[in-house]
Amino acid sequence: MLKLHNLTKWYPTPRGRRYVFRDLNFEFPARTNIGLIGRNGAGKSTLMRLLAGTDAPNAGSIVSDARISWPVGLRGGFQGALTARENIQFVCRVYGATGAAMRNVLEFVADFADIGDYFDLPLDSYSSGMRARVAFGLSMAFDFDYYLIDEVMAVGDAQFRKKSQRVLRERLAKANVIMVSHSMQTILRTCDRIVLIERGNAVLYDDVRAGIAAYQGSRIRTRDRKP
Amino acid sequence: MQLQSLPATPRKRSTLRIQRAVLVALVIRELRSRVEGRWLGLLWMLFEPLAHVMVILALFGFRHHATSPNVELPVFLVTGLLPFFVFRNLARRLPAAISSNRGLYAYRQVKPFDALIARAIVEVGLYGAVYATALMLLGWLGYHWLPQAPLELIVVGFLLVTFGVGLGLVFAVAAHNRPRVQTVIGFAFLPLYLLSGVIFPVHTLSPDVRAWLLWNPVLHLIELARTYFIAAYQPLEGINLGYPAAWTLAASALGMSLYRVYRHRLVSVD
Repeated sequence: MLKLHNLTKWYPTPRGRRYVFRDLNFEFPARTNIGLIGRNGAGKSTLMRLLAGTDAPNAGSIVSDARISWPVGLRGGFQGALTARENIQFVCRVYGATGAAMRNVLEFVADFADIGDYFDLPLDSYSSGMRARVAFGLSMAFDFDYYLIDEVMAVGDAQFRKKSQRVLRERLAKANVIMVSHSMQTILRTCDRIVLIERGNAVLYDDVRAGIAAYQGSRIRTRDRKP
Repeated sequence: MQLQSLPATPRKRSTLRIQRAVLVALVIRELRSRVEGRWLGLLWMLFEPLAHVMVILALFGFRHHATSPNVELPVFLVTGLLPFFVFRNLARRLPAAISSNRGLYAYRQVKPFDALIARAIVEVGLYGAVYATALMLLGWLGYHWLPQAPLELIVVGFLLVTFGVGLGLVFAVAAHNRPRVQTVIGFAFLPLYLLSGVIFPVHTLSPDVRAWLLWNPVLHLIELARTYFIAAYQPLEGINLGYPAAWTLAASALGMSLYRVYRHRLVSVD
């Protein structure tokens, strides 16, 4: 169960409050992969941050008994002076995976990222591709009910991308994804339903193609309005 | 590469367990970044504050007695300097913990408050170790090195730490995304250092000046830290525990209220 209850979120600006959502009520359908689409600034990323628990609503709440991941492939949580192993140990401790569980996670990520002895070198010495490998592997090492994906699927080389797709698919056998993407191909490939975010409102489309059509229609309409 | 071998993420943990897990993780991370993976780093971490104390000892060692012939100068300095450093470092360095752990708030369990507390634990542990080392050095050199009233000293230490954390919390909110405020706070600690009777006793100043200095709660705590340590020490007239305790309470309450009000702004990632 994942529900937005009277969700209100605003950001302070020099010209007063800017509301992203005002008393939004919405229930995400159970056991479906959801694609969040909408124009830039519509509030997709804000909603993702709220779902991830990084940001908190100004009023209302997100009601859920599901385990929701951090944004998949997140790299901001890594400390450059520490090694991949140490960074992963940190996340394991936060999620209560200690002892044997931590060893299993480390083994999995080391194997998945496949970066050899760089695994025990400071992250500052990594290429961005290597960081992405570790970050993605770490996200997949924990089982969640919802994985939050914000346009990060296209990382690494072709072989790694294939591997990521495979492991994500394996995870999605028992879990679901909430995905933000501007690539309609990605949405079509992964999602069962569409949630269109528009002017602080969320509209559910049971048919993915209908949702995409509505989004593209609204995009054209707004373009027409401003010559 | 099989997912079956991986642990199941627990569905629900008690708040206390999450809090403990986050603090343990942050403290280990903080220590690791400071030590930087070398034994030398660990040594340096202890040696740096100790070196500071020794430089000041060398600079002011020419004065033969501090307040009275019964009070040995190195003991006078160590028992004032280290408590003051704990307080100052907590108040001055806690705010930076919020921004330096900024990326971690993407994990929903980690909040800026945890980052502050973890840094406070590391600072207190570190200075506790330095204090003990300095005392053992004093003992080895033949000075008086055991506190005369350890329990009272612990109370004073507790007040210093809580006051430091409370002020640190206030500064963390006040200086967040305001680098100039940070600079002003940094400058304010120099006069405080001199006016708290840390390196020279304020007893010799004229009564008018002393009456003004008594408004400074840190002076009270430093004087008390010495009184409970050195048997022969004559504390400044008008020193008491209640006044700094009130400040501590006020600073902690203000800090926590400000944090509560501005907590969403503190996590702002970009």
